[in-house]
Amino acid sequence: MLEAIDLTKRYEDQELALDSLTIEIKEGEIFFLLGANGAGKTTTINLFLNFIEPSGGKALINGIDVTKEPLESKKYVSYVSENVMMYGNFSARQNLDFFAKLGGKPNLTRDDYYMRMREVGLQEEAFEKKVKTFSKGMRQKVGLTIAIIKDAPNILLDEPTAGLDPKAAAELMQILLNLKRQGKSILMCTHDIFRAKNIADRVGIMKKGRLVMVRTRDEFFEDDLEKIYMDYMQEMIIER
Amino acid sequence: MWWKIAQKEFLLNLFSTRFNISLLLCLLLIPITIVVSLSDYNKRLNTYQVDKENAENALKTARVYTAVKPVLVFPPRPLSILCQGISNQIGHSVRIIIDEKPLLGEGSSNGRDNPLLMSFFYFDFVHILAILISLLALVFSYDLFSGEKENGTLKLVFSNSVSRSTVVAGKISGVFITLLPILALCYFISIIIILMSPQVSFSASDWLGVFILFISSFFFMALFIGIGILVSVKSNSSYNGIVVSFFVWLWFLFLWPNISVYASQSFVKIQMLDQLQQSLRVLIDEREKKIEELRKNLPGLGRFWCAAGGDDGYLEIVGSAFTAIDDQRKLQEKSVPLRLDYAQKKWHLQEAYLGKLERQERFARYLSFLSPSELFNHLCSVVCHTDAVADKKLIDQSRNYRDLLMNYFVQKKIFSSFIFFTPQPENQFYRTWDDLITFVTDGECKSWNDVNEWAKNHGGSSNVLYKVDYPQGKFSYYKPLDLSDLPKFSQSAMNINDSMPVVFIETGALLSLFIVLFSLIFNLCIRYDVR
Repeated sequence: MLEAIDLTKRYEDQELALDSLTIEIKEGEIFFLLGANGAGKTTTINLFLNFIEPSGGKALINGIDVTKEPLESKKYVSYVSENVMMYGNFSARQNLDFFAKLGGKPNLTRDDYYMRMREVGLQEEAFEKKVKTFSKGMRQKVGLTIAIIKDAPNILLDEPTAGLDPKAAAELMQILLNLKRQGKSILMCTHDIFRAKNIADRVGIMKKGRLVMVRTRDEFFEDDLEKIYMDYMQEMIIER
Repeated sequence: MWWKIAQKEFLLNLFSTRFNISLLLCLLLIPITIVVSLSDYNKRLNTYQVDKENAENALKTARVYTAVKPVLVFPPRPLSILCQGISNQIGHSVRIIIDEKPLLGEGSSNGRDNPLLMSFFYFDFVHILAILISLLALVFSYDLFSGEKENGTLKLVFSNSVSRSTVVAGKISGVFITLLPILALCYFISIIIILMSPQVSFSASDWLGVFILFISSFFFMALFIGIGILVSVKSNSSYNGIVVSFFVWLWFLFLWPNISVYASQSFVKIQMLDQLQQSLRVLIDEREKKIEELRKNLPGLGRFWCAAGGDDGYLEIVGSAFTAIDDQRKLQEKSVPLRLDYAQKKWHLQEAYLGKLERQERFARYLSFLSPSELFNHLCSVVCHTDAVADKKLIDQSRNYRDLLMNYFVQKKIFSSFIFFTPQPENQFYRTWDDLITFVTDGECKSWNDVNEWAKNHGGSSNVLYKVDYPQGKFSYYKPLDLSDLPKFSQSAMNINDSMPVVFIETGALLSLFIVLFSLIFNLCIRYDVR
């Protein structure tokens, strides 16, 4: 379970990047965080991963305060970022091997890695190829496999579909649905409202560091999510 | 876990183009450098052996003490194959004479027969290693953090339950375990090539020196790894990192050493060598005037049957009248102390000049120590006994030997003896020139006037002087001097122990820089913004 309580981040230049965010993402739930650039989505993820210290409030992963026990909390979370290049001179399997060991899975075999890569739709011939020869979609699948291999109960995704072709993006969504069925709590930051409509259980819209709206799946179908989101975006443009 | 990260770094480097290029550079540059250095060393060794033999022969054939001018020839140090220091800039021999104290080495010390070849590029092993290892250290570390940040893998790494110190330790170790085999390979190739040369033999002290060189190289490499990591942590992108690293490399290896020399020449002024020589010339003229005065008071000085001499004080006379030879003895008895006195006066000027040279060199050296590469180069030249101090020690020893030799001559009253300038025993001299002329002309002439008269009547010929065989009038008649009790020059063996204080200080300086730099890096890396 992922939980943010009054989570606030003010940078040294006094810019308020995140303002009292409070959310809770339960087991088997996919939460999409939507918003324009600079709305505070990535800051939220950075705070959950303790890449930055909060100015106020706290972020909890499976009930563990990430600021107080960062290493312990990271045992229960996987991360998929936007446009991960991976280690280009390593093969897909070598990348998996390194991150699996880092993620506390030292005893996985070559077959385990192959099986996971098959699951995310990577072609067999790519397993031992150097990642620098991969397309962005393939690299993203390797990134997702890394997250899956760790087998953490929570997954954070930061714009994972950016730059992906529709097919690759659709495959990625399918994988997320599978993970949701396994009971994972998933927080995904994105601009991709269409994917959100397809698979999200709940959607939150952020504006200038504030979570201005949260809708459940039933609610956002009723309220026409696209229109609400576009209105917020329009407001942002006018204010700028 | 840090080991896993270090392994990852090592493997990534191993698969990279930069590793292959580095390896290729080492395999090309190091053997070529060592082969050239070895060839230079062998030539210097041959030159030393020839010069030494000539010096020994010159002493063995000396019949008078004016010819006893030992030439001290210093062998090239085996470790100079690795680091030539200033050994190829300064002469390898010193001539011990009455008129002057040794100032600097003489003769050519470079291993190139053709002086025109000196204009060509030449770097010894230590210089090549300094250039290569510093460059490789920067190449493998300039993007250690910034590169991973750009790739996004750093966030991925830190999203796991692994502490920053573990990641930092692992990444830094990875660079070390990549470069250490390259460094070891450089030394291994060099040593194998050196061992294959039959003319080179390393003593236990030399091997210890090689070990110290290796340790120093490691610290030197570590410093540049540190600089590279610092650049990587502080630069926004790996592109900026490589630009900054390249500038830092140029600055430390090429710019700062030149700036140090320029600064020392600007701040520590020394008189020009020409000015010193002019001052010395004044003293020499003064001395010659005094000797000329002495000469005027000795009317017996005149002709000799057979004589040889030179500007360096060499004078050898055989076949003369006692009056003339005794006046010559009196002249030497009075002029040699004068020459010794003037040698001392000249030395005061030379010593002051030398002191300024040393001060200027020290200033440049201390200033250059702000560059790790210069600190490393100096440390290596100290270990290989090819630094300015080692050279100064040799010249000091030569100077002491000259004092010892002159004292020996004074105590033995050599300067007031006939043997100083003539091998002919005192009892073999004819009392007067008339006696000698009567003997050699078989009574046909009784004086120089008669000889001149005879010559006038015989078309200027002086054959009358050779009517009788007079072997005592030839140098070849006399045996060389017995110099068995002459003080011998014993060059104190260059031992690594002599250099230990400097080695400890400079290795300590490298180590301290290493500790300070890595503490700083560790601190910065711990607070590194991974986003």
